[in-house]
Amino acid sequence: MNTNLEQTKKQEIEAKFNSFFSRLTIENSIEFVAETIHADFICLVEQIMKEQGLSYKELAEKLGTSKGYVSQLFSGKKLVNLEMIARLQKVLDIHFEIVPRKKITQQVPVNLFHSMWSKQPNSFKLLPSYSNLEAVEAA
Amino acid sequence: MRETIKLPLLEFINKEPDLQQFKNTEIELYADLENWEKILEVIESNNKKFIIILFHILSGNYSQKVYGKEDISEQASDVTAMKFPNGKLNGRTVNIRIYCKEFFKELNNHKSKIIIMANVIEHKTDVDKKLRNFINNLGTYEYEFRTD
Repeated sequence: MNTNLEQTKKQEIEAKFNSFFSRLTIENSIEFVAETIHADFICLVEQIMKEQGLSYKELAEKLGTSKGYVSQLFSGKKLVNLEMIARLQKVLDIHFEIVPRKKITQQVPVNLFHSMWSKQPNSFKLLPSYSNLEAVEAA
Repeated sequence: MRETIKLPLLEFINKEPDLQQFKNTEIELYADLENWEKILEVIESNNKKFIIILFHILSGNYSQKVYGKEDISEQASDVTAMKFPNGKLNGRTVNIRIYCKEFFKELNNHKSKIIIMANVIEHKTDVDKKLRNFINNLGTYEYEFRTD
Protein backbone atom coordinates (compact mmCIF):
# COMPACT_ATOMS: atom_id res chain seq x y z
CA MET A 1 0.00 0.00 0.00
CA ASN A 2 1.49 3.39 -0.89
CA THR A 3 1.78 6.21 1.61
CA ASN A 4 -1.17 8.21 0.25
CA LEU A 5 -3.48 5.23 0.46
CA GLU A 6 -2.29 4.49 4.00
CA GLN A 7 -2.91 8.11 4.96
CA THR A 8 -6.42 8.03 3.46
CA LYS A 9 -7.21 4.79 5.27
CA LYS A 10 -5.93 6.25 8.55
CA GLN A 11 -8.10 9.34 8.10
CA GLU A 12 -11.14 7.14 7.51
CA ILE A 13 -10.47 5.25 10.73
CA GLU A 14 -9.93 8.51 12.61
CA ALA A 15 -13.28 9.76 11.29
CA LYS A 16 -15.00 6.61 12.63
CA PHE A 17 -13.56 7.13 16.12
CA ASN A 18 -14.37 10.85 16.00
CA SER A 19 -17.94 10.00 15.05
CA PHE A 20 -18.19 7.57 17.96
CA PHE A 21 -16.83 10.10 20.48
CA SER A 22 -19.15 12.82 19.18
CA ARG A 23 -22.12 10.47 19.79
CA LEU A 24 -20.77 9.27 23.16
CA THR A 25 -22.69 11.00 25.90
CA ILE A 26 -23.48 10.76 29.59
CA GLU A 27 -27.19 10.01 29.42
CA ASN A 28 -28.09 10.23 33.09
CA SER A 29 -26.01 12.79 34.96
CA ILE A 30 -27.16 11.84 38.48
CA GLU A 31 -26.57 8.13 37.85
CA PHE A 32 -23.14 8.89 36.39
CA VAL A 33 -22.08 11.11 39.30
CA ALA A 34 -23.27 8.43 41.77
CA GLU A 35 -21.16 5.87 39.90
CA THR A 36 -18.10 8.12 39.97
CA ILE A 37 -18.44 8.75 43.72
CA HIS A 38 -18.68 4.99 44.13
CA ALA A 39 -15.65 4.46 41.85
CA ASP A 40 -13.49 6.86 43.86
CA PHE A 41 -14.58 5.30 47.14
CA ILE A 42 -14.14 1.71 46.05
CA CYS A 43 -10.64 2.42 44.69
CA LEU A 44 -9.73 3.79 48.09
CA VAL A 45 -11.10 0.63 49.74
CA GLU A 46 -9.13 -1.53 47.30
CA GLN A 47 -5.95 0.35 48.16
CA ILE A 48 -6.55 -0.19 51.88
CA MET A 49 -7.24 -3.90 51.25
CA LYS A 50 -3.93 -4.13 49.37
CA GLU A 51 -2.09 -2.50 52.27
CA GLN A 52 -3.74 -4.92 54.71
CA GLY A 53 -3.14 -7.95 52.42
CA LEU A 54 -6.86 -8.68 52.23
CA SER A 55 -8.42 -10.64 49.32
CA TYR A 56 -11.97 -10.15 48.01
CA LYS A 57 -12.91 -13.51 49.52
CA GLU A 58 -11.55 -12.54 52.95
CA LEU A 59 -13.31 -9.18 52.78
CA ALA A 60 -16.60 -10.91 51.91
CA GLU A 61 -16.20 -13.22 54.92
CA LYS A 62 -15.47 -10.29 57.25
CA LEU A 63 -18.46 -8.36 55.89
CA GLY A 64 -20.71 -11.41 56.15
CA THR A 65 -21.64 -11.19 52.46
CA SER A 66 -20.96 -13.35 49.42
CA LYS A 67 -17.85 -13.05 47.25
CA GLY A 68 -20.20 -12.39 44.31
CA TYR A 69 -21.70 -9.35 46.04
CA VAL A 70 -18.23 -7.98 46.84
CA SER A 71 -17.22 -8.57 43.22
CA GLN A 72 -20.27 -6.61 42.04
CA LEU A 73 -19.38 -3.76 44.40
CA PHE A 74 -15.83 -3.57 43.07
CA SER A 75 -16.85 -3.79 39.41
CA GLY A 76 -19.43 -1.03 39.97
CA LYS A 77 -22.42 -3.21 39.16
CA LYS A 78 -23.80 -2.51 42.63
CA LEU A 79 -23.27 0.83 44.36
CA VAL A 80 -22.17 1.08 47.95
CA ASN A 81 -24.73 2.33 50.50
CA LEU A 82 -24.22 3.98 53.88
CA GLU A 83 -24.71 0.72 55.78
CA MET A 84 -21.97 -0.92 53.70
CA ILE A 85 -19.66 2.06 54.29
CA ALA A 86 -20.24 1.61 58.03
CA ARG A 87 -19.46 -2.11 57.74
CA LEU A 88 -16.32 -1.46 55.69
CA GLN A 89 -15.21 1.13 58.21
CA LYS A 90 -15.53 -1.46 60.94
CA VAL A 91 -13.85 -4.42 59.22
CA LEU A 92 -11.01 -2.34 57.75
CA ASP A 93 -10.53 -0.48 61.03
CA ILE A 94 -10.40 2.97 59.44
CA HIS A 95 -12.52 6.11 59.43
CA PHE A 96 -13.87 7.56 56.19
CA GLU A 97 -14.43 11.30 55.80
CA ILE A 98 -16.30 13.11 53.07
CA VAL A 99 -14.29 15.98 51.60
CA PRO A 100 -15.62 18.25 48.82
CA ARG A 101 -13.62 17.58 45.63
CA LYS A 102 -13.69 21.22 44.46
CA LYS A 103 -12.01 22.42 47.63
CA ILE A 104 -9.03 20.11 47.30
CA THR A 105 -8.43 19.64 43.57
CA GLN A 106 -7.72 23.30 42.86
CA GLN A 107 -4.60 23.32 45.03
CA VAL A 108 -2.63 20.33 43.80
CA PRO A 109 0.93 21.35 42.85
CA VAL A 110 1.91 20.24 39.36
CA ASN A 111 4.92 18.26 40.61
CA LEU A 112 2.72 16.29 42.99
CA PHE A 113 0.22 15.64 40.19
CA HIS A 114 3.04 14.25 38.06
CA SER A 115 4.41 12.17 40.91
CA MET A 116 1.03 10.45 41.14
CA TRP A 117 1.67 9.13 37.65
CA SER A 118 5.01 7.67 38.53
CA LYS A 119 5.47 3.96 38.03
CA GLN A 120 7.23 3.67 41.37
CA PRO A 121 5.18 1.26 43.52
CA ASN A 122 5.04 3.69 46.44
CA SER A 123 3.24 6.31 44.42
CA PHE A 124 0.31 3.98 43.93
CA LYS A 125 -0.35 4.20 47.64
CA LEU A 126 -1.45 7.76 47.01
CA LEU A 127 -4.93 8.16 45.74
CA PRO A 128 -5.94 11.58 44.40
CA SER A 129 -8.01 12.53 47.40
CA TYR A 130 -5.20 11.59 49.77
CA SER A 131 -2.60 13.46 47.76
CA ASN A 132 -4.77 16.48 47.31
CA LEU A 133 -5.63 16.64 50.96
CA GLU A 134 -1.99 16.42 51.95
CA ALA A 135 -1.20 19.23 49.53
CA VAL A 136 -3.84 21.45 51.07
CA GLU A 137 -2.65 20.70 54.57
CA ALA A 138 0.94 21.46 53.59
CA ALA A 139 -0.02 24.78 51.96
CA MET B 1 6.95 -0.31 15.13
CA ARG B 2 3.17 -0.15 15.49
CA GLU B 3 1.06 2.85 14.60
CA THR B 4 -1.72 4.52 16.54
CA ILE B 5 -4.62 6.88 16.14
CA LYS B 6 -5.16 9.67 18.64
CA LEU B 7 -8.69 9.67 20.02
CA PRO B 8 -10.60 12.89 20.81
CA LEU B 9 -10.63 12.48 24.60
CA LEU B 10 -10.33 16.20 25.33
CA GLU B 11 -13.17 17.04 22.93
CA PHE B 12 -15.34 14.51 24.75
CA ILE B 13 -14.45 16.00 28.15
CA ASN B 14 -15.18 19.51 26.91
CA LYS B 15 -18.72 18.66 25.81
CA GLU B 16 -19.68 16.86 29.04
CA PRO B 17 -20.60 19.11 32.01
CA ASP B 18 -19.92 16.24 34.45
CA LEU B 19 -16.31 15.93 33.29
CA GLN B 20 -15.25 19.58 33.55
CA GLN B 21 -12.93 18.77 36.45
CA PHE B 22 -10.72 17.04 33.85
CA LYS B 23 -10.63 19.82 31.23
CA ASN B 24 -6.91 20.39 31.90
CA THR B 25 -6.05 16.70 31.74
CA GLU B 26 -2.62 15.71 30.51
CA ILE B 27 -3.78 12.23 29.60
CA GLU B 28 -3.92 11.24 25.93
CA LEU B 29 -5.82 8.24 24.57
CA TYR B 30 -4.83 6.29 21.45
CA ALA B 31 -5.94 3.14 19.62
CA ASP B 32 -3.71 0.60 17.92
CA LEU B 33 -4.10 1.00 14.16
CA GLU B 34 -3.95 -2.74 13.50
CA ASN B 35 -6.69 -3.63 16.02
CA TRP B 36 -8.91 -0.57 15.62
CA GLU B 37 -12.02 -2.46 14.44
CA LYS B 38 -12.18 -4.75 17.49
CA ILE B 39 -11.50 -1.82 19.84
CA LEU B 40 -14.17 0.40 18.29
CA GLU B 41 -16.68 -2.46 18.34
CA VAL B 42 -16.14 -3.03 22.08
CA ILE B 43 -16.39 0.61 23.11
CA GLU B 44 -19.44 1.16 20.89
CA SER B 45 -21.24 -1.88 22.30
CA ASN B 46 -20.35 -1.02 25.90
CA ASN B 47 -20.34 2.77 25.81
CA LYS B 48 -21.78 3.35 29.28
CA LYS B 49 -19.13 1.20 30.93
CA PHE B 50 -16.49 2.80 28.73
CA ILE B 51 -17.36 6.25 30.14
CA ILE B 52 -16.92 4.92 33.70
CA ILE B 53 -13.55 3.45 32.71
CA LEU B 54 -12.56 6.83 31.25
CA PHE B 55 -13.52 8.43 34.56
CA HIS B 56 -11.20 6.00 36.40
CA ILE B 57 -8.38 6.79 33.99
CA LEU B 58 -8.85 10.54 34.22
CA SER B 59 -9.01 10.33 38.04
CA GLY B 60 -5.76 8.37 38.20
CA ASN B 61 -7.61 5.44 39.77
CA TYR B 62 -6.37 1.88 39.35
CA SER B 63 -8.51 -1.05 40.36
CA GLN B 64 -8.55 -4.77 39.71
CA LYS B 65 -12.13 -4.84 38.50
CA VAL B 66 -12.40 -1.75 36.28
CA TYR B 67 -9.05 -0.47 35.01
CA GLY B 68 -5.77 -1.70 36.35
CA LYS B 69 -2.40 -3.25 35.90
CA GLU B 70 -2.04 -6.98 35.47
CA ASP B 71 1.40 -7.12 37.06
CA ILE B 72 2.15 -10.61 35.77
CA SER B 73 5.76 -9.99 34.72
CA GLU B 74 8.44 -7.35 34.33
CA GLN B 75 7.95 -7.55 30.55
CA ALA B 76 4.31 -6.53 30.92
CA SER B 77 4.83 -3.87 33.58
CA ASP B 78 3.29 -1.17 31.36
CA VAL B 79 0.26 -3.26 30.38
CA THR B 80 -3.13 -2.33 31.81
CA ALA B 81 -6.64 -3.62 31.18
CA MET B 82 -10.03 -1.98 30.70
CA LYS B 83 -12.49 -4.53 32.03
CA PHE B 84 -16.01 -5.08 30.71
CA PRO B 85 -17.55 -7.88 32.80
CA ASN B 86 -20.80 -9.08 31.22
CA GLY B 87 -19.96 -6.96 28.21
CA LYS B 88 -21.86 -7.03 24.94
CA LEU B 89 -20.17 -8.21 21.76
CA ASN B 90 -21.93 -9.37 18.57
CA GLY B 91 -25.15 -9.91 20.50
CA ARG B 92 -23.42 -12.12 23.08
CA THR B 93 -22.72 -11.42 26.74
CA VAL B 94 -19.04 -12.02 27.46
CA ASN B 95 -16.28 -10.79 29.71
CA ILE B 96 -14.19 -8.54 27.51
CA ARG B 97 -10.95 -6.75 28.15
CA ILE B 98 -9.23 -4.08 26.17
CA TYR B 99 -5.55 -4.39 26.98
CA CYS B 100 -3.61 -1.15 26.95
CA LYS B 101 -0.05 0.12 27.13
CA GLU B 102 0.55 3.00 29.50
CA PHE B 103 3.57 5.27 29.59
CA PHE B 104 4.72 8.89 29.69
CA LYS B 105 5.74 11.31 27.01
CA GLU B 106 7.87 14.33 27.79
CA LEU B 107 8.29 17.07 25.24
CA ASN B 108 9.61 20.58 25.98
CA ASN B 109 9.13 20.03 29.73
CA HIS B 110 5.53 19.03 29.12
CA LYS B 111 4.71 15.62 30.50
CA SER B 112 1.75 13.60 29.26
CA LYS B 113 0.42 10.23 30.23
CA ILE B 114 -0.20 8.10 27.16
CA ILE B 115 -2.70 5.25 27.13
CA ILE B 116 -2.87 3.11 24.00
CA MET B 117 -5.78 0.71 23.64
CA ALA B 118 -3.78 -2.08 22.04
CA ASN B 119 -5.85 -5.24 21.68
CA VAL B 120 -9.06 -6.98 22.71
CA ILE B 121 -9.56 -10.38 24.27
CA GLU B 122 -12.53 -12.31 25.61
CA HIS B 123 -11.70 -13.19 29.19
CA LYS B 124 -12.83 -16.56 30.54
CA THR B 125 -10.96 -17.47 33.70
CA ASP B 126 -8.17 -16.09 35.82
CA VAL B 127 -4.83 -15.41 34.19
CA ASP B 128 -4.20 -18.73 32.37
CA LYS B 129 -1.28 -19.58 30.11
CA LYS B 130 -2.97 -18.24 26.96
CA LEU B 131 -3.82 -14.92 28.60
CA ARG B 132 -0.36 -14.70 30.19
CA ASN B 133 1.21 -15.11 26.73
CA PHE B 134 -1.19 -12.55 25.29
CA ILE B 135 -0.28 -10.00 27.99
CA ASN B 136 3.44 -10.66 27.72
CA ASN B 137 3.22 -10.27 23.95
CA LEU B 138 1.56 -6.87 24.45
CA GLY B 139 4.50 -5.94 26.65
CA THR B 140 6.73 -6.22 23.58
CA TYR B 141 4.62 -3.85 21.43
CA GLU B 142 6.51 -0.73 20.46
CA TYR B 143 4.74 2.32 19.11
CA GLU B 144 5.71 5.11 16.82
CA PHE B 145 4.66 8.65 17.76
CA ARG B 146 4.79 11.76 15.71
CA THR B 147 5.23 15.10 17.46
CA ASP B 148 2.85 17.02 15.15
